[in-house]
Amino acid sequence: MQSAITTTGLRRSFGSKDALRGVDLAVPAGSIFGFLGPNGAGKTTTIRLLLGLLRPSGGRIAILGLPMPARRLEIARSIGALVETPALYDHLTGRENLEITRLLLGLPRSAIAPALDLVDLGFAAHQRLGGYSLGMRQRLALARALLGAPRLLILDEPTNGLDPDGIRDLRGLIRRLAADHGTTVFVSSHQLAEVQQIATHVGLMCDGRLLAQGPLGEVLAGAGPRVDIAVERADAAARALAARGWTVEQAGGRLLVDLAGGNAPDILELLVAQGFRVAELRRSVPTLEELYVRLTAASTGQRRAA
Amino acid sequence: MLALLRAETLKLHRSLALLLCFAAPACVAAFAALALATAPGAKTWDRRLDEGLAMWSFFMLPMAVTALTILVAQIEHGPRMWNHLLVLPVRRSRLFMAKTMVVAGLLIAMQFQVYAGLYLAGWLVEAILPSHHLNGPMQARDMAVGLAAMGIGALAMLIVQLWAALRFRSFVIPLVIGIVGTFAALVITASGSDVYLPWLLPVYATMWPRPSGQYGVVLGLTGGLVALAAMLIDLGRREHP
Repeated sequence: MQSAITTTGLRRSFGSKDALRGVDLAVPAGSIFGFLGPNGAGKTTTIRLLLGLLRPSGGRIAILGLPMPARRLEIARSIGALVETPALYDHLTGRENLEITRLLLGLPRSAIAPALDLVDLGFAAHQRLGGYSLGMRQRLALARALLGAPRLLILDEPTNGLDPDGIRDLRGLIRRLAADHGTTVFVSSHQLAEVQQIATHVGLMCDGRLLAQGPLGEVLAGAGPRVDIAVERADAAARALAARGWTVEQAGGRLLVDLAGGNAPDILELLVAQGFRVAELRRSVPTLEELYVRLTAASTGQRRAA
Repeated sequence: MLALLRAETLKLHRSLALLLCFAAPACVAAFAALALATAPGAKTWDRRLDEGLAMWSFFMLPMAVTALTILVAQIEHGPRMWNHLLVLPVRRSRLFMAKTMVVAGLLIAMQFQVYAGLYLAGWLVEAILPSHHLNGPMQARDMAVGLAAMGIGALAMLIVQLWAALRFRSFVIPLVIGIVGTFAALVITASGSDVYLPWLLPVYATMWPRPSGQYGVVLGLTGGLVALAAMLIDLGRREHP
């Protein structure tokens, strides 16, 4: 599959602080790529580099096959972007806000109405932005990013400030763009569960490094299978398993045990032999959030050891 | 470039920047009318017009340019609009050039309004207070030439102020530059020194075609073009973290 975005050894420093420490990103064309990580992980810096707002300290960027920032103008014609909070002119109407971008993109006047319809804002087109809710502002900024039908849409924390209905609508819109128009959507977020619902691919960032990336299923499967156990005296059972070398996490009254190098019947046999009554045992795939916690803990542990 | 100019003009709709462009010249006209209505003794058109021009060139124009450039820049700084504008497929130099041209257009509009405002103020006072009749020729041509020269002489100041306003997100820095420049110009004039500050060039330019007027026009124009080139290079290369 052709890449929409490729970075090789991408680095960026601000003074003595390394914001990105060699990021190799590969975003397939047509994918919905969830770019995940906590605040300060380097997501926004990466996006600013991809858009040419910052210059890299090292490494290379290619967007839609063209080098950035050398071919910025050509690349920019195929990109729509929404960076952080929606930047809009409050003293103008919704339509006037889009009109400014339309003029700068050299698009026909007729390009505005479909963009407004796509985000259901046709009814408020002639209202000044003072009367817009945060959700409406976010949708207007999205409509502006969609002007000119970009091949690549880069969204930085697009659900910030949206209510549950707004988040659901945005999810639907992103799915439609990818499915109906073949748009590649690169969406950064710190809300892992939210992105898990729409992403076809993910990249997990922490402390300026890309910890994992790839198709969502493969990334989750790569984390290794686990068993989810409901057992009486969970604390004691966890200690017993840990004493035999199993990696155990406790979640409420349940145990999550990594199966790396072992299998579920071994665990069941051990617990029963030690007198624990097991109510339920099933294999489970970790959620993005669980995987992320595991990867960041490992990354932090490696740094401390170093 | 035409599309960029249209976009920049659209941004001014309902903006404070546009309001200022009407308010500042109107203030000069109002002050001129007040001075005419209250000043004792015989009055002539050339004397009153010179007073109006002095008020505009020494104080109101530099302060209006300071405020105007800040308000225009804050249209982008306020909502952090650079994140959006600078990722569009438009050369940054063209983007900033269009903004400069629109601000220069607003300066020309203010000069026209001062021209019209000073005459209107004279006629209005004559109509309300017939005893305050203005004598002598109306100097319409000299007045137009003086305001045109002043506008050209103000270019260096305009670009320096616009550069500072676009360069810094906070309005305090360009405001301080404008206030310091305006008052430094007043002090230099009072001391009789031959120092050519950008904020003083419009004052000199009104003396066109005398040599100091020519200095004002030529330095204002060349200084403005040099400052414009430096501004376009600086803002075009700047990162936006």
